Amino acid sequence: MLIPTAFAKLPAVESCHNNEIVFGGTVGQMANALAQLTNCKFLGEAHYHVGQQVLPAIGGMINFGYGISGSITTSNTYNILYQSTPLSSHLAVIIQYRASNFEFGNVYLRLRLRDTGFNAYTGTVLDYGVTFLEGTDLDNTRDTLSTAFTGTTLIDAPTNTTYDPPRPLYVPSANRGELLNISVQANLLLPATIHVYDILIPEVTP
Amino acid sequence: MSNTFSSSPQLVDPGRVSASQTIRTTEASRLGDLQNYAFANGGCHDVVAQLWDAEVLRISSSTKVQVCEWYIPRPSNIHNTFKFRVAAFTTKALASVEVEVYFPLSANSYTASTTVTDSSRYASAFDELTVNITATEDELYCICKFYVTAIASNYVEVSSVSGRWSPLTSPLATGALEQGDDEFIPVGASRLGADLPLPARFGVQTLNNIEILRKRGRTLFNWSGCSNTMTGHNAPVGLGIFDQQVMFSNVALFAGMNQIDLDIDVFINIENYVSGKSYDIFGYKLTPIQNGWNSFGLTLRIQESDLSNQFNVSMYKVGLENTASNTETLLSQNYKQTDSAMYIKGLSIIGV
Repeated sequence: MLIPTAFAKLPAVESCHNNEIVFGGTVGQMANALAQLTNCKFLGEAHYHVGQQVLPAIGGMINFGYGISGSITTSNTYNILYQSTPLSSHLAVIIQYRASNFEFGNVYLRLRLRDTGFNAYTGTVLDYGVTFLEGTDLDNTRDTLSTAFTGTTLIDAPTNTTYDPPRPLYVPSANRGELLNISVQANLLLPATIHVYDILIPEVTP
Repeated sequence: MSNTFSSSPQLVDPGRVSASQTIRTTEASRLGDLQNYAFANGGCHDVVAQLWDAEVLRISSSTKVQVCEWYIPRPSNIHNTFKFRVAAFTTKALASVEVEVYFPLSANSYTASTTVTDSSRYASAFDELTVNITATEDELYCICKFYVTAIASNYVEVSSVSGRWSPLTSPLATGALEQGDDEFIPVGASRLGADLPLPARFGVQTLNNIEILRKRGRTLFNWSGCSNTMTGHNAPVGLGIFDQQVMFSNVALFAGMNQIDLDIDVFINIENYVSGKSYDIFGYKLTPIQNGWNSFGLTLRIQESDLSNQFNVSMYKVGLENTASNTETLLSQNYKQTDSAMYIKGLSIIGV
């Protein structure tokens, strides 16, 4: 069935009262409204903002990626905890970043999905993940922020054991609903925000 | 009559509930299963999520100090377990972190604490705290406060925090389950089996349950400034002019919410309050009226974003706007916290 994304108006409760004939349309509207809730509204998401140092007198960010407010370093890793839902199957990731020095270094951004057994950062790899490369997937952005996006293609379960080109991360069925760790490895690149989303599957076979 | 539900519920086949079809027990059972599942699991994803780069958020106080504070939604009055995860390390063992869930109307607080186990950034494992709400609370919004206690002459460095309410387990409790002032009636699975009458009550309660679940809050954006940090390691205390480029989320909001009177709640935590100052947030010019938390209930009126095509759902940019007005009122070289400038030290946006 197609998953509705809007809050459609519900039938009047009187249509279900005693001595009324319950029409198929009434039950259909209930089914659609519940599908919207479970498979659309209540999908998971997490929005991380990466704090950098600020000038203490000012107290807030006035720039990013130079001066006191963050530096673009070699191979910095961030572990992003993400609470999946029982219906999380594909995760889209949007990262705002600043990168430069494409001519002098190998700039990349890698995402890998792990479980969090025993609260460990190095849990079992669930998806060997994706890499964004300079020139093709990343921008040389000295003065402005750019965005890296995995896209939302509903891929089949991946079989790669090294990094793939950008695509959504895949959550194996056994791990859906668990706390997950998205390991973000940034080389010569500084992330500013990291947003993670369960991807809506627009058509589901009942 | 047990209110059970499956962890990955099956949808109702729309072809089986159209005109001239018999409503089978399969369809009725799935309608009940979906309701129970949605009540138990809906809104139980991350409500707090924040990250700091290396060497940014360090706390050296050997007495307990508050570091962050967020406004968070609570799924229902019986979602009583809050899990808070802290990725942090300490330079000397036995430093601790604490989380408090505070209900503003009842003024009740519930806390949990633990010692920090790692001794370097992402060395081994994050720490998890479990807050149990032990009394009956009927507030659907509460405040999450984060505290740190370091060991003297040492420090704790925090890399990230995240938190969420634990879903309820199957079966749901019997009787009416409250979500704020509303009553959700869970569905008994065996009542929807074969050879049993399908009462009018089932239809009426299903419609009522759907309306209640549509109101349940989702965190769209949540950010807190940091207090009591170590000298020389100055995490942001408030929002600055650069933050107009990053302090927003692209999130799904659903058509029809205005028509059924559902709105977005914006909570702004203000320091150094000055009368008449305003901020452009979520398409509105919002004027706080006091120090501390200010709340605004807003209808959706901003433009849909281009990401809608990618996500197959209406996406909106929700958060701080990039405007000339904000450039004048956010922290900057000309508007410093040390000059007692009014600033935003926390911003939470909760949608439906």
